[in-house]
Amino acid sequence: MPYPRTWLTGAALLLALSARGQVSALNSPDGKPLSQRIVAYWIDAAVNTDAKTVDATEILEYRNPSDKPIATVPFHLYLNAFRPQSTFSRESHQSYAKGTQGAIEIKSVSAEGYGDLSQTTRFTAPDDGNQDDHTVMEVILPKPIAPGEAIRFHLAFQDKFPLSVARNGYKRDFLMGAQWFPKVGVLWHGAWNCHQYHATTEFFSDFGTYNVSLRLPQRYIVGATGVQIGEQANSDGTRTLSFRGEDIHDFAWAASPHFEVADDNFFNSLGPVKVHALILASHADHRERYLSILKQSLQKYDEWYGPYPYKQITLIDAEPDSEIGGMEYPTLITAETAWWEPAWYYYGTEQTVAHEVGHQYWYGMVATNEVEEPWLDEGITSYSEGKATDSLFGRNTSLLNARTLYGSEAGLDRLSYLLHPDEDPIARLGWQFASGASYGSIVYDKTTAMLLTLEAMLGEATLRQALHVYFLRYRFQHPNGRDFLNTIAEVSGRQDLQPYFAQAIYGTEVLDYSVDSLSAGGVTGPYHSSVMVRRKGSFVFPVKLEVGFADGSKEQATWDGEDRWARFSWDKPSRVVYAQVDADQNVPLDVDSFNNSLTLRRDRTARMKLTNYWVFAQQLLAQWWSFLV
Amino acid sequence: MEKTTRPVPNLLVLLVNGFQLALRNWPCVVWAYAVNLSFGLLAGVPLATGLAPYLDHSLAAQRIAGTIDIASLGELGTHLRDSGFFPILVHTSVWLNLLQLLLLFVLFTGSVFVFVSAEPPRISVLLRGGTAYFFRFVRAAILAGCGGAVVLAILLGLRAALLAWVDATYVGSGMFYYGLFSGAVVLLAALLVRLWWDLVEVYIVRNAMHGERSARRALLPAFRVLSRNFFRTFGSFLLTGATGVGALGLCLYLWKELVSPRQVWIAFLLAQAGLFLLLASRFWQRGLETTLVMSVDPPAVVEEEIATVEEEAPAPANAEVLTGVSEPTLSDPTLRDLVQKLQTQPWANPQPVPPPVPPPKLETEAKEPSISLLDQHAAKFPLGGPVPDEDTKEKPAGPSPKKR
Repeated sequence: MPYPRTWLTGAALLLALSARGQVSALNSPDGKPLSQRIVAYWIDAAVNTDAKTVDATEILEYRNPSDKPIATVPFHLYLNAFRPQSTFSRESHQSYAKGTQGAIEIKSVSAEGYGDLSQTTRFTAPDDGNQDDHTVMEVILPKPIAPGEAIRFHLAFQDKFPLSVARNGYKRDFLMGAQWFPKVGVLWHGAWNCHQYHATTEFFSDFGTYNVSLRLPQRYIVGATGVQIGEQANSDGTRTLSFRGEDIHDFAWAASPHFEVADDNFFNSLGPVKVHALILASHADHRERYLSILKQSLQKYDEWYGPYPYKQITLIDAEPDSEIGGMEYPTLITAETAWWEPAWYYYGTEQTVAHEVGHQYWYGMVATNEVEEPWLDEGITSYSEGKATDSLFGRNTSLLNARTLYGSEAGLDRLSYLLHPDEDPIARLGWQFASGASYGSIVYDKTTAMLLTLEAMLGEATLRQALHVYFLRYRFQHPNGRDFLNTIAEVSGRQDLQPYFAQAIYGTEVLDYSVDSLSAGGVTGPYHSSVMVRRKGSFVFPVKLEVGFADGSKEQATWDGEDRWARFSWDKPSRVVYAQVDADQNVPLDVDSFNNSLTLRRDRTARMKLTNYWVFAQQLLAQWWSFLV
Repeated sequence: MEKTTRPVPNLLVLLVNGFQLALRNWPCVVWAYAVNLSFGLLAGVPLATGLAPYLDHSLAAQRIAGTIDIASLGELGTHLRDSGFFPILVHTSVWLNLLQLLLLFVLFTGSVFVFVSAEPPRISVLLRGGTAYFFRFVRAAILAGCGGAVVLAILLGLRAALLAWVDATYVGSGMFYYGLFSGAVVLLAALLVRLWWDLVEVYIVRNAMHGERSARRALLPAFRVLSRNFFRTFGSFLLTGATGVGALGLCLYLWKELVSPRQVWIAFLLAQAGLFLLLASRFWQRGLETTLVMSVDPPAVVEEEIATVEEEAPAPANAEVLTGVSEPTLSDPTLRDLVQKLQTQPWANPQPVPPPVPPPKLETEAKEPSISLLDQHAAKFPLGGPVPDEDTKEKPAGPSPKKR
């Protein structure tokens, strides 16, 4: 049932909020803003939990940050992506059963001093020209906004939530309010940056303040961005919750009648941070796991990169069997767990939380353009998350540690990269990757491998320091890839990194070095041992060679990797037994670790072991088929 | 001729006698296992060959030879996938599996024939019986498959509807258990279809003893036997299957817990032991199915054969042996003796089969070459091919002792 709102009520709300001494959502020194605060949102929403709709009014105050007047203002209408005709649906081949689509309908749009703007509003498709894709709405102003001036829009809209798709919508009686309101684009480098919603892209918006009130049935428990500043019971069995967020660039919320609240505190250099977890009743026994990894991750990132300045971080335990789990929003994360997940398995709960908390830094505060340079948030976050889980659970066993099997997160990330090592460059625009699989492999995992290889070149401490400087310098701003790489070069003092970045980030060269041959001449000592190393890929990279001898001694050599091959020789009383490049496995970008070494002696154990598994599987399969037939 | 009524064997008797039948015909199990192992090893050859360049001289292989690093294993998989060798591996595996499936089908068919007809479980008998009944068993498979598909489709549709309702209502372990139990119901239904199908195959061979060649006519009798003896039949079927799966599971558990990661040969032996026991349990199932059918519904035509032989041949001196008094005189039982035993001996106290009495030699057969019982059986109860003419039909010779 809709709850009608008038402009008077909205204005009254605005006035009321303005009149109060605002509750701050920040642990900001001196209470000063941390960002430019280009936008200010006041949203008043009524949620119909039965129909899965939201009726809302929005007041958006937008200040022209450029030195030029602007005559048009684009808005993101992300929920329109969940219609069959949208670009998102076409690219992802998404289909919708009856009644499961999503949409956002703009009922009215006007601006103070401009009047009704409905007639000068149109949908645009700046990326692919798909006129049926209504995820970008452009408002043409009768008169432009002068530099530094502000305009206050008034919009009324209705959301129809889709059935759980791409981290949006509802599942059973769980509601996820994500990308649910008209959001203005970013005026960046003198032009509007307001892309359509694609299958592989995420979001980009300006910093500002958010004041949001949500009206829902009383039995629903709500978690939202920012901090809760008020609650009012209504006579119709609903209640209105008010939230405020500062120096953030998005507002998300989630609601379920099955949440159980689990609160804790985390202390950093700026003061206390409330850890507010809303965990589904069916996962109540995972409460301590969630709180523990949340605080451990915050601790690690605080140590390595800088302080988390907000007063609260909210964790939403996402509904099972939905597409909602594992997503980041400013000061709010969603994560997922499973009732069967054992404590020793870190790849679900712990990995997800560590990743999303990492996004509070790389996306939440260092607000890069996720659409055009997704590697800057996803890749750096994946790298940071891997470092965090390695330090918490062990480098080689951060994923699994059993008697016959072990696995690390870094290992799995590298494996994902190996599936699509050269299909797209890391720096490709987010919607132009060859496929969703390539996007995932390159943006997340190749970037992680690239950063780990860079770490081997610079040293772990140096790279960590570079990230720390990058965070402090660019938080609450919109840096790009060049800003990031220049910071690394500056902090490391290395001016020779450009060829590496050119190949690893902007190119698709493949890194593959092998030990091609190994020989030990002579019947008795001294032996003339010879090793040939080859560059099999197109990526040029310096390699370290380690050679082991029968008497236990070792020799090291370095090769710049420029030529196609190089030969190294030693005359020693003992013959060579093995040669290996990258003995410490510090170059995860190398696509083939099996050709990195050569031994004189043959060892068939691994081969026979795998063949045994294969023979067993073939026999079992045949017996199974013979049972069926 | 009146049918003799005997008590239906209970579950324990079914299990024991089925086991004994399978054990007596142990070469059937061994031949099937030999085929299974041979084809498995054949399938392993291309993999072993293809892995050699990657693993034999690489230090990275140590991450697989010892405790396995799953990322390294995955990386190896990507290299194999990208190599030209991978399609060869896949195609070899597929074709070998198909060929093995065909051979196992023939061997299982031949085994059912041996179980029902009490023929010696020689490989020649297995293959001849398997090929002779091959197309009838294929027809049975199609018929049973169609029937089973209808039943399972209905059940799976109901399960999907149930899970959709559960998904809207429950989360967590509740959802899991609904899925598990409904899946178990579908699995049990599928196993029941398989059991019925096994009984159909037994009936096909049994019916052939009185000249019935239609596979369709085995469907209803098999269903009748199953429905009238449901719990003991299905229960014993499930028990034997669970025993086989449990034996495999035990071997795998021992492999995981007791065998060092680098001990390949011990791992191989444990795996093979588990696979052999799993396969043997399938023959145990066939044994108990044959026991059930032959006890509740033995082929009537064999009684006529016995009567005909008695009219033509003078009664042996110790005729009381044929009536079931256990007085061994010869070393090998014959089909006739076994059927006599089935008619007269209670199953609860199985007696050793009395050795057969060799019939006196008739003048007519003095100069004729000895004809195997299989050929006699084939002549009287055609296993396949044209029915012999009346004019050219030979009188069956008396049973001759045969060695098992």
